[in-house]
Amino acid sequence: MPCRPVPVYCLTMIRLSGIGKVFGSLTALHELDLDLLQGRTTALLGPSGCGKSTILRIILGLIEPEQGRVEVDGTRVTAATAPGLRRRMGTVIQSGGLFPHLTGRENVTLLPRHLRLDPQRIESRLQELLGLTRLPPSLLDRYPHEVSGGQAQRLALMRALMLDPDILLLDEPLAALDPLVRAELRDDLGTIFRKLGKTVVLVTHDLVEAVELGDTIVLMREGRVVQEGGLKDLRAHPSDPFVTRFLGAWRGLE
Amino acid sequence: MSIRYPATAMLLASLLSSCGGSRSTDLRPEVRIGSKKFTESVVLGEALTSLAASAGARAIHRRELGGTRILFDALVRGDIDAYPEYTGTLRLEILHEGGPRNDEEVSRELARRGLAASRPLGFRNDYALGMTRQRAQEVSVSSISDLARHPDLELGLTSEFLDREDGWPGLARRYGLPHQGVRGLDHDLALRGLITGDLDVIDLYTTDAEIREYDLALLEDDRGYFETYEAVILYRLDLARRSPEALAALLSLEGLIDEPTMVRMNAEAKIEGRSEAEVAARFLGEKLDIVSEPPASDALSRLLRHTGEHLVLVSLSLALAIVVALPLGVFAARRPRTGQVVLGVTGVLQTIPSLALLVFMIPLLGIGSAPAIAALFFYSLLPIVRNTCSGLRDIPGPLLESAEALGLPHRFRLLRIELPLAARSILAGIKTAAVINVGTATLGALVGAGGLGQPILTGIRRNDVGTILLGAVPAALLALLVQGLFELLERRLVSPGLRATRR
Repeated sequence: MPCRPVPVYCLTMIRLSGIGKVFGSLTALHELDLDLLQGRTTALLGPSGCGKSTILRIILGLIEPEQGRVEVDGTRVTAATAPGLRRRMGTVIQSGGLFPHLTGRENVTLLPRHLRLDPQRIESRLQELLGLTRLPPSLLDRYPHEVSGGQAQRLALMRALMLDPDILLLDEPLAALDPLVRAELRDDLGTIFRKLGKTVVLVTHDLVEAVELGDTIVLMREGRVVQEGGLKDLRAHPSDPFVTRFLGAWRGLE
Repeated sequence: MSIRYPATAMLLASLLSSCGGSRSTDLRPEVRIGSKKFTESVVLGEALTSLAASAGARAIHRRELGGTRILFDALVRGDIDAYPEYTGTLRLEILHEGGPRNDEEVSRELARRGLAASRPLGFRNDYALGMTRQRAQEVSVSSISDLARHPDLELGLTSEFLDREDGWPGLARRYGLPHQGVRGLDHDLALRGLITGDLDVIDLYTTDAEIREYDLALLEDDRGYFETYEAVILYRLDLARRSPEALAALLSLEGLIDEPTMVRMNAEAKIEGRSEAEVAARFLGEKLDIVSEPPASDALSRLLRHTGEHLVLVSLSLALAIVVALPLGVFAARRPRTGQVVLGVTGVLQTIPSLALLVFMIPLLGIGSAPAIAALFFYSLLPIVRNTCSGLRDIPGPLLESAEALGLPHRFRLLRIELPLAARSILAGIKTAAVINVGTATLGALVGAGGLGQPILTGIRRNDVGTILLGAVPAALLALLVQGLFELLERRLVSPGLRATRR
């Protein structure tokens, strides 16, 4: 149900072509091609070590691939362009990545304060995002160790959305949460994604998350894309026995 | 490092220039007298200082400056203008290379260095070995040759005597002395060890007041090993140009002090506990009719002065160390390979014994607070570099990546994220350096830096526990204070978000 059909007018927001990445003797990505569409949520799904987090890092320009090129909204990602492009991408990682020495407010407003944006604008954006992420305002004055795991992830999401980026990158945002909190935040994330209509890249090893949140699922294994498409496509026309096996694990939950 | 420190550079420049000596509008010629760290030298130093002052000079006494090497180097460099020395030391210890033997050769060697020696002051202060009379009779030892029959006797010699060419090595050869494990220690501590029976034989100066006081037996130098040590004034030749009156006044001491007079003055200072200034003033009053006021300073103002000097030593060296070590620590964290080298070098600096480091500094920086600050600076580097480096390296990788992914520039990440996250570790390193500095700075007194080491040094020399405590107790309190100050600073500088997650 959550998988909407791909509209024909969709533009490519992020394009990876022929990306190869090697860590020592381990090849993390094998000449990988991937188009991520504007305004849609793409779930990079696969077992751990399949290279899905590496893709996020390459999109952010945190690591450089040995081969291939990455374009974000038509601009090639290089050491020179990456810092500017990062301002157009919001990132949330597994444990939030909130800085423990800063309060929630300081964490969330770090970047706009660094850019010397108008404090009133920052404040109104803050209120807006509190509503969106359903966080009580009192949380902003707490330090990260004083909030729960789910709240920390909501704060991290606020921080990622602060400058209203075009792209949202989430690396296992729910993995460290206990099941109840995870389900609740997953639903909220789905609502938020639909409301904002941003280009979202979600890295996960959890099929439920990928199906619930992703418009498109990109199933990966050992640095290669095995198959991409909606859940129905994957089910109906598995390109590989691995797809069937991976989806099979979820069948029991239906 | 892309970070520039214009303010720091200015601070450094002003510090360095202030170490170079203060300018003053006083037009009187400045005459600086030095003395070694034993009572006789300090008394003579006081006398010379009063004489120079009586001739209209602005006389300064850099008292108790360690041993021969420090004094002689300071004289050659011009940090001091004159100090009391002994002919035997000159011939054998200072000018031993090439071995000038007669007086003419000695004065030629001195002149080559811009120095000269006065004629003898009138007394000799030779080296001798001594025992308590009772112990000497027990083992029936009356000459140094007799010692060869008693390899089990405990010898305690001053460290200087132990190493000097004219000291123990030659003596043991000449007499074939079999004693192993001879202890090197401070002269005044050796005297105390002799009297309490912990030591059997020590080296003595023949003018030591304790010889008569404790009825010590001097062992006969039956093979004529020891040199004669006539007291002279060693001075810079340029003093004759800068202040001929002061030089003439100094030289008026020639032939004026006979041995009983010197022994009496030593006794007044060491056994009766009078100040060296007072002893010297009384002597000058009797012999030369020079009335000199020993500078009256009460205990409190001395304490404040010493504490002030101590604080300057500690805080300046620490400030310099922070300025240098913090960037080094950041660098070491960024470049693990070169970081190892940085940590290694600062680690080696740390292992140099403090006394040796102080003495190394003298040829470069002279005497006074500059070499002490430099030595303390070197000691402070390691804890700060190491803690800065490890504090930065301990920051979890995902946090660093988050900061980078946010699109924050390098410098902002370092100043607002990384350094604050490492703040507790860095502060702990600075605290360690500060506490060590408070203790080590007491050694600064040996090179003329003053501080709380001064009363400790004086107290040890005069066997006066009260005076030692006047230095030791404030130093200990200061260390506690520094500790407390840093706890406070930690509360201020380390984010509450980090304090709760204390590992």
